[in-house]
Amino acid sequence: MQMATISRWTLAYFSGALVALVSALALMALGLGYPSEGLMEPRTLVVVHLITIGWLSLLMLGALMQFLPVLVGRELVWPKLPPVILALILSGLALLLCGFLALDGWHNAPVEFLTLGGLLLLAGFCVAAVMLFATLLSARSLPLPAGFVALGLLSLLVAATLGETLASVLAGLVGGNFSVALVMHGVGLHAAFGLGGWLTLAAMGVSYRLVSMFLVAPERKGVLTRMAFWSATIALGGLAGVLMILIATNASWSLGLALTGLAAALAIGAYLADIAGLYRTRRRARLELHMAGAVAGMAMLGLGAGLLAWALWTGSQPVLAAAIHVLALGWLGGLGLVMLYKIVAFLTWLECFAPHMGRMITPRVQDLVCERRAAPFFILYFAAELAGATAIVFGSDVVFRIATALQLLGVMMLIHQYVRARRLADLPEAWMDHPKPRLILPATRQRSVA
Amino acid sequence: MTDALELDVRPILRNGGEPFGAIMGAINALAPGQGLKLYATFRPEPLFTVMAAKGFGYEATPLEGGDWQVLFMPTAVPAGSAASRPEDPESWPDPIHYLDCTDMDPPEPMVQILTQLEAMSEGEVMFALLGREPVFLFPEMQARGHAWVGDFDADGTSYRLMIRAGRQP
Repeated sequence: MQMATISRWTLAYFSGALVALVSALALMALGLGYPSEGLMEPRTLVVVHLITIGWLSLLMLGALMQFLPVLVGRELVWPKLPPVILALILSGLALLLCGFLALDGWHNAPVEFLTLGGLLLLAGFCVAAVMLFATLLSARSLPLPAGFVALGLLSLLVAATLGETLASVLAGLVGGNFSVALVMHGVGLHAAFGLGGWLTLAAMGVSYRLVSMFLVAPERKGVLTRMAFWSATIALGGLAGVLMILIATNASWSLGLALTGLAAALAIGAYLADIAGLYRTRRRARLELHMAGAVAGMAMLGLGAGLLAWALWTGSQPVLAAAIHVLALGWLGGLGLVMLYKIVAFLTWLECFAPHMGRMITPRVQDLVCERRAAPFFILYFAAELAGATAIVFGSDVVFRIATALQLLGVMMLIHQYVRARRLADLPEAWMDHPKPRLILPATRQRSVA
Repeated sequence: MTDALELDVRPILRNGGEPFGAIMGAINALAPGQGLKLYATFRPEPLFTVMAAKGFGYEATPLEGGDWQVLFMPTAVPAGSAASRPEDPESWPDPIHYLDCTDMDPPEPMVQILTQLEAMSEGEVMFALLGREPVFLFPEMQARGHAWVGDFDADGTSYRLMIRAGRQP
């Protein structure tokens, strides 16, 4: 039967993700990692993986567990797996981070932590991908947004496998010419599959459906949507080709990279133009805060892609770092924070008021949040993102740390808003005595027969 | 016709317990038109009056060892569903309410549809037009005992949903 229920573990994924984001921002504000240290230094790798695995991947997996069933109209296959996946990823991440620090001689920890952590992460991501793929395959037909998610899941598997191989090289378990080639050319591929293939494509897929749903706009099925999808597929194919050549010949394939870059630029351009079309054809006149915030997130995708092209053209390392910062924290992270603002309220509303619908006056979803209070923190977050990226380009460590501290403040205040929504703290007086849900693990819905 | 739901309260009675709650729980769980087959250690006379008030007739058969089997069957079919069976949309009457939810943002369609259903008697049918498949509405309708059929129109832009109201609590 085609139906979707509240995914019981999604909020646990979101909580873990937010803890990782806060930790990463705090470390950066304290001056750990880039730009105070080198781009490939162990502590930079700690911060980068806290953000990409801890914050962004957990956020995306939690969101997919809730929204893939909505996208394809089927319940999640094997619903008992999400806590297992969460445990694998969290323990894997913890070991991986210890492994990076071990490279620095931290407490004489064994560097094998890297390989072990990578293995647990690979296991967690594989189980997640299999579960989500099985859910996709159980659908009667696959809408195009689900195609983006499928490409994203494939990239996740490649990124995780490549990551585990890199971890083994760093731990000294793999040697020879291949390991040298992998460290030289593989890191960029690992990042491209992770940030580009997995996170960006999955975010595109989810946002297509969420944006059209929240704006009450007709689904996009036109030329631009197909162009975005097929260009993304070609870009991913090019990236896979570059990887194959690297494995076979230990050398980089610049033609493949150029093809990937062009196709990726086309995909991003088509996607942004398509989303702009969605905003134009919307039937809701006024934009809610999360939909206004999403515009900032999408703009960051354009900015980040532009910076990346500039960095690859000029070979400038600071610009490359700024591009990754904007793509990870501005586009993916920013979009994540604004969507969380709506999703947390929506899931809480569904949990608390769905059983009462039609039987008593229920509040609107918007009543669970106070947009006026949250708006300044979103502005602070995105402004700090721009300031931080600018500071990286111009090499100002102090400005970067101040901007990151402000960004952290914005995130903490937004988390406070999410918690208030969960606690029903902003509801009008009429519902003040309504029973509060649990903060993280929603109660399973009782199928009342009455 | 669905098979009668079976409920054996003999273990409760033998342990000195009170089976009335279990019996009422089972009755509330019955699908429209479904009967209840009850096993007890005695002929449950007081229950016959209660069940008659709820629209059930009975057929009591003595079993070996002094136990009884009683089959309660609904006597009158509720008004409005003379030939309408929830599992067979072909048998449903024409819709008496129409709702256009295509311009509503989520979760408003869900609120409107459930509010309408609350005001309808069992067996009555409503029709709703939506911008997308209301996947979060389905579990709620299932929990409340409503039956539905739905599909996308030919060009896939609107979702057509026909709902047969279930029994009100």
